[in-house]
Amino acid sequence: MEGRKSFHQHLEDLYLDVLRMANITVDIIERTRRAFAKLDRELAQGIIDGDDEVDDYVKKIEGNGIELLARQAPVAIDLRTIIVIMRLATHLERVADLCVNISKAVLNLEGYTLSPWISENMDEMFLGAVRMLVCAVDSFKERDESKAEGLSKMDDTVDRINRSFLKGTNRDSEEEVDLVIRVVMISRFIERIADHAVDIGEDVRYMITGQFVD
Amino acid sequence: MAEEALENKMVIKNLSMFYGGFKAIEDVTFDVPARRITALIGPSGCGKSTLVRCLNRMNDLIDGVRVEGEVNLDGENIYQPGFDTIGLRRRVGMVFQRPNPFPKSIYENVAYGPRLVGIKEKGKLDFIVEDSLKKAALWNEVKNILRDSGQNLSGGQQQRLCIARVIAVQPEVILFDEPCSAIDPVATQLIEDLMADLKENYTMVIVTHNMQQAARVSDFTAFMLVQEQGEPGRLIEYGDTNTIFTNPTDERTERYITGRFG
Amino acid sequence: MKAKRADRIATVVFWALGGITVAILAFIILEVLGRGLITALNPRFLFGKPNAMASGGGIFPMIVSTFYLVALTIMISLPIAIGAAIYMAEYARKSKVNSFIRFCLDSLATLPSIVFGLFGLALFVTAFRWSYCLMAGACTLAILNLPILLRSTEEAIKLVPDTYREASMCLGASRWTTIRQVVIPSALPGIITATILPIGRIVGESAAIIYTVGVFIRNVPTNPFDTAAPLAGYIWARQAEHGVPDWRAIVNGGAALLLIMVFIIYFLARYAGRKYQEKKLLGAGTR
Repeated sequence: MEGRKSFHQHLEDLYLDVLRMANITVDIIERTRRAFAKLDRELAQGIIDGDDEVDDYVKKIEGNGIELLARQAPVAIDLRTIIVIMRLATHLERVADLCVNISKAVLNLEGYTLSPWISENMDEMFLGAVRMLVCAVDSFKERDESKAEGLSKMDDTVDRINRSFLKGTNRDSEEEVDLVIRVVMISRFIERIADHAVDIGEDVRYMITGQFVD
Repeated sequence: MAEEALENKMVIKNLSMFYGGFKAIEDVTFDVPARRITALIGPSGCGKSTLVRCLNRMNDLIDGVRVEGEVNLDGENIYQPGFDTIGLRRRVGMVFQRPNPFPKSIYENVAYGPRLVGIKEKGKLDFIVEDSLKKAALWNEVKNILRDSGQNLSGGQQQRLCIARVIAVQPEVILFDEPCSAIDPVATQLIEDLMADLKENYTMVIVTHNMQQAARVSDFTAFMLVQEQGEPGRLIEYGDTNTIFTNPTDERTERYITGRFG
Repeated sequence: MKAKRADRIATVVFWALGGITVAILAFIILEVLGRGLITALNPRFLFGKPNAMASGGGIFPMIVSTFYLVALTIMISLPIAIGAAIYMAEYARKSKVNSFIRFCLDSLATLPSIVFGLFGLALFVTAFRWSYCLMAGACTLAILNLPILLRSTEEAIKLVPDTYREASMCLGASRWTTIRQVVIPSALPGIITATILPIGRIVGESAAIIYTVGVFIRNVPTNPFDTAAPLAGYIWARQAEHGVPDWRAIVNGGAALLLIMVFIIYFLARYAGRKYQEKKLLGAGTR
């Protein structure tokens, strides 16, 4: 016997919405990576302008999530799933915001040329962050605890590159101060995107086990 | 939640009802949208059952009942003089608090309504009975025991039999007067799922003392309250269910649904 | 402690009262059967014709008269009772008409049966020129039993839950359809049970029939307007007149037979009521 048909239908809709939102967010990071690599103003502006789509998704997911909590009194795995979906949406929204910040920084980098060292390391950092977010979303989609656990290890790479930017750019006195500040900022933004991926992993582990991860 | 233009099946305007000299409900105004579920909630004695019985004039059967105001069904006031109450009750069916199948077989319970309108042909009756029981999600459980007494079924099955009996008359509106208060949680779940399915074709009004049930099943919610003992029941707030349960406008609604009184 | 003791005394007293009731009943039954059972079960007595003067007469025409009278009376009174009960239970609840009817019926119920007998004699036997006959007795007994039959029929109808009526009305049935299709069928087992008591009274009634039906016949009555002699009246007559030498045996045998008949009718009615409930109401199915 299958009970609460309409509730589980609504929960499924919510789940699909957050996955759609995750796909869009991953795509935004990817586009941000390209915008930085080529210092592409147009692409960067597009990312800044397109942020509304993500915001609309957050509003929708939060609204529907609250409605389900208020009306269906979900319990156990259903309750944890709804809560994690709503937190996931918040994390994704932040990630999109960080991409907007990066894009704004890209706009201010007009006229500069990036050294190969910066380009390569930053590209690796972007890719690391994308991989982490994809991994975090997969762990949610597949309810895979080991994937969620692996995220903190992946974060180490991103952190390491972030630190090397802080040190490396100091030594490289040829670079102009403006450029250095912007690159460090962008590196820091990417590092925070990676942190959001780690947080999502923790939420997913809570969803699966019901235990809080410290 | 998809927004489409809502058409109102019933429009209740300034409705008051009296038992002799006692005013039971006062100045109630709200709409019942077509093919949606409208819930009436409120503490016991707030007049919600009385109100729902005004919608198919079941209160007429009680001596000394008087009604003021209008109840429009498809734009026609059902309280206008000379209105055909028998026809009305065929269009606006009702499911009661306690399952009340007749002491007849399952088949005869469902065939009762169709027989009233003169359907005698066996093939036709067989079809209606099967179809109604299927729509009420009961067919699979009873298809081999149609000759058994309807009263031998479990409480939840009896209630679904009563729903099938109403469906057999092909009503436009189905009123539910606390339909789950006498049955267990699993059976309640089945009935709620059934209501969600029936929404495609029927307009429904449900009276329930269980706020969670109203939250789960309904699209619109009306909250009623008797403020001081001896006063009539009034409609405090009416709105879409999500708003009522996440951000009600009236403080009394908020206090009731958060369990602070009533 | 005091309460407990009082409780124990009360228990003993009520138990004793109950015991006495049962004992009296058992004594009567055993006494009647002990005196008359052998006579009653004798086929020559059971199926024989009664003699006017000689001993050795049977009581077959009286048995037939009794059943005939019962059937006629119920046929006359039950439709009236059901009709009136429907009016009182369904249409006139709590009305002034209702309480007036009830007052009249209660008064009627307190009258001694001999009054009914004399009334029947005056109206049916004399004024209608029916002479002594089953029909006159049945009409008289119908009036005699109407209050009790009406009351218990009304109770049976009132016992039908209101939820049935509501459900029926909500399906678009009129009031009358609801009564016909739901209320009466649901109340029927109760109505059948309600007829048991009046049947017992008809079988045992003598005062009202000796002036309306007759007390002696030799042949089995066939026409409702034939003179007849129900058992109770015949027993009374034999006891009063001593017309035949073996009157004592006839009286004892007749009394035993009367008792057995009442029992049989009682159990038949109970059985019929239960069968009806099981079969007719439920097994309608895919007819």
